[in-house]
Amino acid sequence: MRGVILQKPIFSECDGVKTMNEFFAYYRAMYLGTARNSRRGGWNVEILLIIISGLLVAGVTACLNESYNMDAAQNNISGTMFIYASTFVYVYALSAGATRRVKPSVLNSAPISYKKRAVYSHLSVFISGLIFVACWFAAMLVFILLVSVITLIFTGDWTFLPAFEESAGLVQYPDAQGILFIILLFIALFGIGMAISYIKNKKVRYSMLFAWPAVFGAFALLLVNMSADGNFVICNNMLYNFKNLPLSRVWLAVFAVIAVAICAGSVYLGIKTEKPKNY
Amino acid sequence: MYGLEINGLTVDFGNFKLDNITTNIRKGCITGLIGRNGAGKSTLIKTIMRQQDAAAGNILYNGQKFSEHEVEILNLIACVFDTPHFNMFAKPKKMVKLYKALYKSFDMELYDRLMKKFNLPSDLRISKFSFGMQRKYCLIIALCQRPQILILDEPTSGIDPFDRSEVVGLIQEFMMNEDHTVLFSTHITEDLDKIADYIVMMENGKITIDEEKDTLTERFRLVQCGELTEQMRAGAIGVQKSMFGYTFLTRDKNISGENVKVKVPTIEEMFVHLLGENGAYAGGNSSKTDIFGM
Repeated sequence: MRGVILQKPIFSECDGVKTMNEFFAYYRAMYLGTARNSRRGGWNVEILLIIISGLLVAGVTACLNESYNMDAAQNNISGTMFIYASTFVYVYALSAGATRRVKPSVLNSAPISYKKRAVYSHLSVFISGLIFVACWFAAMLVFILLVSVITLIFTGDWTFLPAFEESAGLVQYPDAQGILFIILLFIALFGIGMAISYIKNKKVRYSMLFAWPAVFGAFALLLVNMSADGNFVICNNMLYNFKNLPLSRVWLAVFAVIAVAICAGSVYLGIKTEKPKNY
Repeated sequence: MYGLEINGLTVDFGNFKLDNITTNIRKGCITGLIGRNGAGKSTLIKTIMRQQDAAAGNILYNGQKFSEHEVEILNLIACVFDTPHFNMFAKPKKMVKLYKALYKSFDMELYDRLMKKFNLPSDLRISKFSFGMQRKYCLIIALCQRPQILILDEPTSGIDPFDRSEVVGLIQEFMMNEDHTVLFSTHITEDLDKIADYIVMMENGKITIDEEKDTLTERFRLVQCGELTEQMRAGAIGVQKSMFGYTFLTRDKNISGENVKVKVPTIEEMFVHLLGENGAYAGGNSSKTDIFGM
């Protein structure tokens, strides 16, 4: 309008875009720019490792089921235990590799305030965790498809579709309440993990951060299990436990507050740790 | 004004300690930091760069405290560490995008010019570069951040004389601006002979010498002689015997004689004789009065 002086918006688009660019550079630097002794840098390699290990775990579990010819209950228990045991080994191996001292990185010297560092670090790990979970799912789906195609070629039997049929009783999806609970649990675990990282590794700022995507992967493994007849099933028994949870809205709200508080506490701890010493 | 003021800095690892380090790195000057392996040079640099926390003391960067001016100070200081501190499997064209986003003052024009000058490929993984090319790339990245304080930890180690001369040339070009400060840690003292204005020597976590280079070298004479007389022995520092005779440092500028050669020592010669077996700082002796006789 003529004669009207436009005030500068509080959060100008320019500042927002700069902050976004800065964050994405931080994220890329954390996973691409940091020199690490143990393996080639980059989240792409980590995801490849995750996919391969996921396929191996699933494949071996399938073989175990076939070899031992167990009944339904034992199948599920053995398959689940094997997945958890292998996940633990994988997470431990990844954590052990990640906690080795990193060389001074691009990020340590970058002109970013300590508060931003803490927030960016949390965001970066969270995003990596989500990518991890997505890749794990993708890997499982690819494996299921592969197995089904091979089975179709050799036996003429398409086993892929039944794995997703809830009506066949092979899949039990959680309801909305259950999904919300899972998301909050995810957030709470993330917050606890980051807090532990900062408490345990004050000096080595970034090495532990590579381990936590693996923890998210372990979480993703809760979603995968083997059914009695050897089919891969997504959202099986474990998630069934999240259906019809006896949780009132009040309890869910309390849990939501606790999960967010844990994350906020972790960010606060991160800010406190990243704050430069007064010398 | 000083580029870096370091007062009473102490870093304690238990089995090694940077002990009460106090020195001023002058603006407009190149300060050489020398010392044996394990003397604490890299630890000092890491503490200055905040990679390592100090237990006591303080550091001022262009007169400012880090805790109060964190982002401004990180903008004005750049460091070339002894090993490249970025992902060696990345390509320069990816690394430079990172730096552009993180450093607001990153100078792309200077980056392109230097990459072209040194013929460094943008499309080849840094791990495939030769060692000399890697060192040059590290320095280019540091210079393009447009710092005022440049800290170099062994930037010329392990590279051939030609590449070394190019790196030293870059540092001299950087110092054409009188507001700039350079702290240059190196074992290659020839580089310091060429360009350093001040010398700081460390031994066992302590500073033993902190002096203008020309004044320091003028204090001593390097003597080579066939026989060591009693008069010579009295003032000799770091006597070394070889099949050709004796070599030592001395404060006595009037030494002369048959088969006696006397000259102003280089930094390396001073380093060797002061820190050698019979040197002033042999056995961890860090008393300044011994060598300056003050």
